[in-house]
Amino acid sequence: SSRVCNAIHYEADLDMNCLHRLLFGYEKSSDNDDRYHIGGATVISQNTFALISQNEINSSEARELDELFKILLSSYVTIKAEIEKRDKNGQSLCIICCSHPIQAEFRPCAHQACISCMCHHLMTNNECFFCKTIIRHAVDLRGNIIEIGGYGTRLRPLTLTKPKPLVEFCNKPMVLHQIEALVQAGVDHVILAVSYLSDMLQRDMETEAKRLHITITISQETVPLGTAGPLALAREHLKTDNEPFFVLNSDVICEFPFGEIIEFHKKHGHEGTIVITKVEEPSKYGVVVYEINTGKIQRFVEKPREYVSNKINAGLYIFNSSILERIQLKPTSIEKEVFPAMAKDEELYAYELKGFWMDVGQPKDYLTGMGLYLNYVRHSNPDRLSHETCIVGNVLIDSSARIGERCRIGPNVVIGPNVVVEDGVCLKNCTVLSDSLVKSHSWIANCIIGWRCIIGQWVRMENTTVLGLDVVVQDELFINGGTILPHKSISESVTEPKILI
Amino acid sequence: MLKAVILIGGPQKGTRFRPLSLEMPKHLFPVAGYPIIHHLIESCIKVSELREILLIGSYQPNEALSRFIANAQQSFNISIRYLQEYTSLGTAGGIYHFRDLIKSNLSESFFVINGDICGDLPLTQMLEFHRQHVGGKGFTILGTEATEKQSCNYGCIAWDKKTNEVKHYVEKPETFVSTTISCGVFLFSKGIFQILSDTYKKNQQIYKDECSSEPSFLINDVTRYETRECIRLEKDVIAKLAGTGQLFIYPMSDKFWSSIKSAGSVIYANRHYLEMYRMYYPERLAINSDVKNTPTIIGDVFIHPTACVAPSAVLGPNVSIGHDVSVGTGVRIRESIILGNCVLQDHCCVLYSIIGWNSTIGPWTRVEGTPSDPDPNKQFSKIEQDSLFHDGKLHPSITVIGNNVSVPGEVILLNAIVLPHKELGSSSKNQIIL
Repeated sequence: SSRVCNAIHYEADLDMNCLHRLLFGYEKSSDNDDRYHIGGATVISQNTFALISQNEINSSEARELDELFKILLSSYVTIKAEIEKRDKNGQSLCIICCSHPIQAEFRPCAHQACISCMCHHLMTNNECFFCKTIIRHAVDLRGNIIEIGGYGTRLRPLTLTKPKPLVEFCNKPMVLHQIEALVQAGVDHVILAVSYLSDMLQRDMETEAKRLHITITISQETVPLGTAGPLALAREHLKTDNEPFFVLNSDVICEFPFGEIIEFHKKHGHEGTIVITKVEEPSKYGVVVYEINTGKIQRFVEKPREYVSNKINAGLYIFNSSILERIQLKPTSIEKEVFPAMAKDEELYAYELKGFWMDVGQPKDYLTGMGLYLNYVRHSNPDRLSHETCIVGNVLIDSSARIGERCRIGPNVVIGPNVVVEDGVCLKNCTVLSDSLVKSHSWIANCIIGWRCIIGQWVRMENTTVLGLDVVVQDELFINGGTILPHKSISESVTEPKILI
Repeated sequence: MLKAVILIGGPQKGTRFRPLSLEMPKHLFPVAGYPIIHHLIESCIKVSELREILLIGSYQPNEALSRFIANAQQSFNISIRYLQEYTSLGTAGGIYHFRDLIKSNLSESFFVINGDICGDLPLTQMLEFHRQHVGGKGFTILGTEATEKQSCNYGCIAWDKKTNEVKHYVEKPETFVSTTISCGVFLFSKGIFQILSDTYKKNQQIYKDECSSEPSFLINDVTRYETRECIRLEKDVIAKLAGTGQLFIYPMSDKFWSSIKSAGSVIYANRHYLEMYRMYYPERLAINSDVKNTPTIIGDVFIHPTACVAPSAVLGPNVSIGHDVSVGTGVRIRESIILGNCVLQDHCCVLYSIIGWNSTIGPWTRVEGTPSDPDPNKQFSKIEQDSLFHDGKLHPSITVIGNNVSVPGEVILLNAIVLPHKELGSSSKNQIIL
């Protein structure tokens, strides 16, 4: 098919001449120089390494090889012609791989490259190839933001070894915070819309479903469906009893007052309710303009340049099943396509969230959210927090963890199950995930320590350092903003923020 | 009587040693627990015939210097005197100026040692060589090997390998001359005084000639006067003696030798002197014992008897702790010098640093520097004499905390230089803090 051919030809290392030689040997030109040309595919040379001259290849296989090469060759010729035409028209190639055309730009620096190179680069690096500016996002040539990376990349390296819904936030898997709150409000069927399905997720969700006596269905998209498409995918589950259904962004943490949201939604009786929240820097997100008395939403403004409103979309919605008429099974953005249409039809209302709110999808926000959540726990259920002598401020420690003497833990620290913290350790504003060991006299602030890590003695870590699974940091090192991928052993200090793979 | 003269210069020298030398002469700086000159005096003492040491410099007699000399007199039981130059007279001018004092009771020769070097000096062997091969009229210079590139930072000696005669001497040449460099240690026979006298007179003549062509109101200029009396040992004397058949070189084997110019070289010298203690003064090194209330010691560590170290602290390798220092619980110190009266509070970590007198390091604080050790891949490599800045940024080096500095808890000081009497507020990396 042409898609397969395109994919093969765009590989930077493919050389058709080499392929021909490998398959069929070569035919020396009459000038007796060493160059060969792509001649007829049936030429069999004296070279015994050519695939087609091996004894194991029978004649029908030889014919198939012949066919294959002819197809590849003709598509190659077509593509080459296109590229030449394009170059004539001034469209350029990505200068990194020189095979794909330029398809996207980084923001804010506007340097260009093809999507394939960008994806590869962004897996381990957040700086522009050319100018080292920190990349905020990428846009296509028309200026629309494109998804690059996918699969919970903002919380890497933690999400490299565990699906994002299962990464613990304050000693509970992120998704479980939401599920448990939903169950309390009377929800009995939860659908997880994922793009990448892992066994771990499936197994854990089965266990949780049994424990909470609810049904958990996993709906997996095989092609990217954007933020609204997954609803269409889960259509049969959602249309069952004509009751309204919640839609939640899995990175959001707040008090989850679902009962009140349901009441508000039923009261106004329209098609959809968006939960909104007040933030300090609304222009980072996208603001909602609505009537204060009724809650009716008038419009949305993406990243306003002047102050419009300080309320943003909190990522929690409740809809009547009639919304499914508006969504087709294709990549659709709920914020850009569905909501504006609903607002025009005056069917969209806003519920103002009280209490804390945070999108914890990035390490820095994860830590901020942790602080907000712990503060909430202090007011709602203070017995959950730890009250020993070495504790300062809000600290949550799992009962199976062990803390040594003369430590100072807190403020805003979460310590997971089976963690061992030796004597004289100072922890501030950080999360230590399960089974890790922090050796004596270390000082750790504003970090996320992954599972099964070992931090040596007299180590200093700060500035949003994130350690993946099974990272070992040797004694007496200084890690300043390092992002360390799983199974890595660090033996040298990291004095300036960087990613270690 | 055999004598030694140690040249200790004056306050204008040793500026690269700041901030440590801001309030104390560089030569009194303690390395491995004892002042630099103390180690040099100990090297001299090893020569059993040596009975008098003269320190020549242009420092005003200050309390630290006087106290040191008084203590040294008592501990070493030989005559030690400080002769103050009225003004800086150059590296050899002082020898000429005090020639009568040096000559009195002098039997044959005397050592001249540059005060800012350190090493395992083979003075006894050098004396024997001088007596056997050089004789009563010659002069011997101690030499060692360096790499080609680094030799240009020192005085280079070109010599005849068979006779050990010095053929040529150049101080800090711009192009490569020889890998053999001068250690700053000399053994002069009495003939040196004649040479110094000739040089002095020649300088006076040059001055007079220059003066006669100058307008009279410039003649009283103090600097001109200084230049007139100044004799430079390397340039005016040694360089001139090379090739005359009177100057010979005694090559040091590859024992430790280094010049002390910067904080980095002090840490390096600290390490080597501690290592030398294993051979010459093992009682000075701290022992790692299994006794319950003693700290953990790794490698060579010097702890002053008045210092107080918590049992959970881990010290070493290559650490010197000064008098009355208090080291708290769970403190880690490595490759560093802690000067007198400091307080290191619980759980702090000090690596590759020098902490000045009376300073305090708060709990959980990290003070870290970067060593500037010689290249381990090159034989005879010496410590790098890097400039302070590199491409506009501060070159990573040993962290130096001046005296009376207060560092709060839980911060990091990385490759920083902190001037004395400062109360820090926050972390700092790669900076000089005034």
